[in-house]
Amino acid sequence: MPRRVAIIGTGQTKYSKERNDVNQMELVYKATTKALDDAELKVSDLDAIVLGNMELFEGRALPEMWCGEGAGGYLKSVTKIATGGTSGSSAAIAGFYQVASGVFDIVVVVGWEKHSEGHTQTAMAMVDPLWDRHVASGAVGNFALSISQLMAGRGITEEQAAKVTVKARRNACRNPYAHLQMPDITVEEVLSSRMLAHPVRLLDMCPQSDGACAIIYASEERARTACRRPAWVKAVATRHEQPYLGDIENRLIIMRTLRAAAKEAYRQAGISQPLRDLNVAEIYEPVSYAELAWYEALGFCDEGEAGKLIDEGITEMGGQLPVNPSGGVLCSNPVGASGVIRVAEAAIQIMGKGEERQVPGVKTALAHGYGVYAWADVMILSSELG
Amino acid sequence: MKDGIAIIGVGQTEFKEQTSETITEIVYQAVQRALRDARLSIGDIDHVVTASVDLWDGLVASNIAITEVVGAVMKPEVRVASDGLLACYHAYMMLLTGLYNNILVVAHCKGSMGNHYTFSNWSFDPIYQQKLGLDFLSAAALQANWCMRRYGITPEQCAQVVVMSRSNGEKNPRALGSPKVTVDDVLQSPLLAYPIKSLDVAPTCDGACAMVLSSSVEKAGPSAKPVWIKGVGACLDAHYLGDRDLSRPESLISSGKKAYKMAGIRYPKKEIDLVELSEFFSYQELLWLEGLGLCDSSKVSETLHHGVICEDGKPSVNPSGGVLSGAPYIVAGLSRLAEVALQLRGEAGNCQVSEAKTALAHGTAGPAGQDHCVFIVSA
Amino acid sequence: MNELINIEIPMALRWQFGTGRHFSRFIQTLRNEGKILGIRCPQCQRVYIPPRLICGNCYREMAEWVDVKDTGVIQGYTVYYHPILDPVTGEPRPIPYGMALIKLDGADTTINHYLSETDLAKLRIGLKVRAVWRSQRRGFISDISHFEVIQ
Repeated sequence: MPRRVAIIGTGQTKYSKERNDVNQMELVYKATTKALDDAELKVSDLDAIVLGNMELFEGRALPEMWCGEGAGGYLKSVTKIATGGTSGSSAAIAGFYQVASGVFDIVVVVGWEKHSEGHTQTAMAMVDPLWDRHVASGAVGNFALSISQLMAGRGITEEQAAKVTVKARRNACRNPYAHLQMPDITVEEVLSSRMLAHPVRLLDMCPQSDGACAIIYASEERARTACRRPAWVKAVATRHEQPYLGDIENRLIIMRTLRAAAKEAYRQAGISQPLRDLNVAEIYEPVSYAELAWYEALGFCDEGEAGKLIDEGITEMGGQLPVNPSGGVLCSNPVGASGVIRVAEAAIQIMGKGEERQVPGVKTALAHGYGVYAWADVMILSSELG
Repeated sequence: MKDGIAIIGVGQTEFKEQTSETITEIVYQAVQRALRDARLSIGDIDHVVTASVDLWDGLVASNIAITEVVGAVMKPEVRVASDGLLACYHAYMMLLTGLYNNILVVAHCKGSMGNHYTFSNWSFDPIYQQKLGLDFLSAAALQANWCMRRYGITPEQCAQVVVMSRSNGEKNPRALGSPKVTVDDVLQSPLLAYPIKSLDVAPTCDGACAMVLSSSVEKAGPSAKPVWIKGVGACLDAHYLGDRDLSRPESLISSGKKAYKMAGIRYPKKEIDLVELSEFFSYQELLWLEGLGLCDSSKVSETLHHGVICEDGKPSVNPSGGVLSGAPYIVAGLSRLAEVALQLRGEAGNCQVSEAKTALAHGTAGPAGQDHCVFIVSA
Repeated sequence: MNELINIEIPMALRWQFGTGRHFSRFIQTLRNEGKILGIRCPQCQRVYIPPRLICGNCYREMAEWVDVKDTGVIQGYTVYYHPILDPVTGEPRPIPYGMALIKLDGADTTINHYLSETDLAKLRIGLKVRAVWRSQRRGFISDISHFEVIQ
């Protein structure tokens, strides 16, 4: 049996298009300090650091060398994780393992990205040089291609996707950290925004943000004394996929990696009916349509019923299973941080620190990470140890 | 997990100055060899931990190139974007959780793909140090200078280290195959950045190394030759070169202390039989030994006279020929652990050290040894 | 309060990529014979494009090369109205342009490639397409300029 581990504190910076008030190391520092304050710890209490970041986007290499100090890494063990879009969720899971191992009692995980620095598009173009580069479709295009399958195969409509955007950008208004907050956004506005690659419109897509997010894990003993309401880690699961977009059959419909990761996580956490057993979910939706695909892959609904979930408001605040009270990736997307933010927001819900975006009575929360066509991370947190 | 965590399989490709094989191909080879050595199939592996750095591979999310060959399709995998030994440390911790039985660790790098020093410039902060054109070579030169002043290390002593490394490397079937050299060869080789000459530098090369770690060795049967992990430590130093006393490798000293403590080692010089270091420059062999408490650098002129580095030749240093004989960046630390594992199993070949029971493997990353990782293992 | 400044550091890098046994053969066959090659997994029988060393699902080495036609069926599609950076030219591609996931006849994985059709009303999953080749072949999948709908 692994040691029991909980999240006892989180810290986030305000996400925005350009944080030119801080350099990357300072960005990391800000999030770390906030997390330490939230957990009522000092930097000397940290035993180890795990970092998540896709440094190529900022034109960096080995970013832990420069930025590790910002996370309290001076003369500590620092592990730098990088797995594309799942960097944050991979790092969050890695931090959990390091405490669960018994080697460390307190570990901070910091994910960050500063898209305003460097040239994200260039880094994104550094895909497989023999194949992908010659027929580059980019992130938007890749989704657009898979979305055409989703719409044809599952009957998802543009209106339903627009509702996801509206939910996200309105939810974000209650999240002081969110990058895109649109209190008056409507389905009509989404549907009349500029078309990028059919059917994905500008308002369907996530932004590129600057920002950092830190979470602090503690061993059972430390969590009990340190935190009134820790967020216990009940399950973690990861699945990776084949390397080419074309290898992945009906990607958004089938999403076998996420289905398998979810199944394993639910088994570990003793969850049999996700819609009933989960109280909140923070899922990684780079495009509105993806959220609908994730509903099905995560078992929130039966085949073909994802549209119904959004139509009937089941995933709205106040619905049976609120999804992304934070606004999700659709509202804030510093790539290296995005996966950590899902875990942090899930933990915030459990710890009852959600303030205006708090879902009442959260006992069980799900956090999900997505990246690189179809890689999947799932983590389940609970207010109860047992 | 009765007895602990052990290395039960190692595999690596031939290190080559330049291979025409792709990263996917060399990683597959290393994985196959490690699995065969461990007498396991890919289905026995529960989790994969890979090590690669996007900039060196010229590929964003560089582990995407190897998901199939490391068996990560519909399986869990995580990439530690630094030296393979750091990835191995993470894998070790994952096994301690009890959630996994067998973890495959794989590191790869093709140094021939691009300019190592140009890439290394990208690791310096962009505000002060990067624009100066600092890279791992100039950082090392600064550190070497400082060591010469502090310990009285001379270029001749460093040259002798190179001679010994190449001589050992010649006996090692797994080494790059750099030719033997004399002290004069080293001292006459082109000056790159004072005091570092071209033969003081580890040659860049291509290769991959894979290792299987297990927490269920008792299930593996009598043919398994486990090498037990007794202690590990890793530590990151300050980034700005000026914030550090470059002659005192704080993060290495700390890593060593953590590893020794975990392994219950109180007198490293007595209790460690052999050590495999990641020395990318000749002076580093002496500095890393100093930092690990295994050698007094001010006495090195005497010991080198007798053909050894540490007093009384104990511990044996880099019988493999070390990284100075050629090991790829990112792979280096993991391949040191692989060498040490083979030594403890009595399978090192012509470079075998006799009766080694406890060994130390070391990895490093970043400028002038900013990041270090130390493993203590025993047979 | 001091003014916040940004500093610019232009960086340029070169890499030499290996092609490996499988891609080398694919490239040479495409360049010299104008033929597309796939590779079949001995276990699951799936024919992969691009060809590669092992089938990731079965963890089996593949050695059975299969001729794949330059005609196929659309499995997914889109039309771009927003130019993205073409990594090969470094320039934005002129818009609008179509793209599709195409299952070539003989293959089991899809390839994504450009489509000449940009009228959404005329596009759907299941349409047959045919490759339009460039006059000069270099051995990359971009030797096919785009696909055109043929029905």
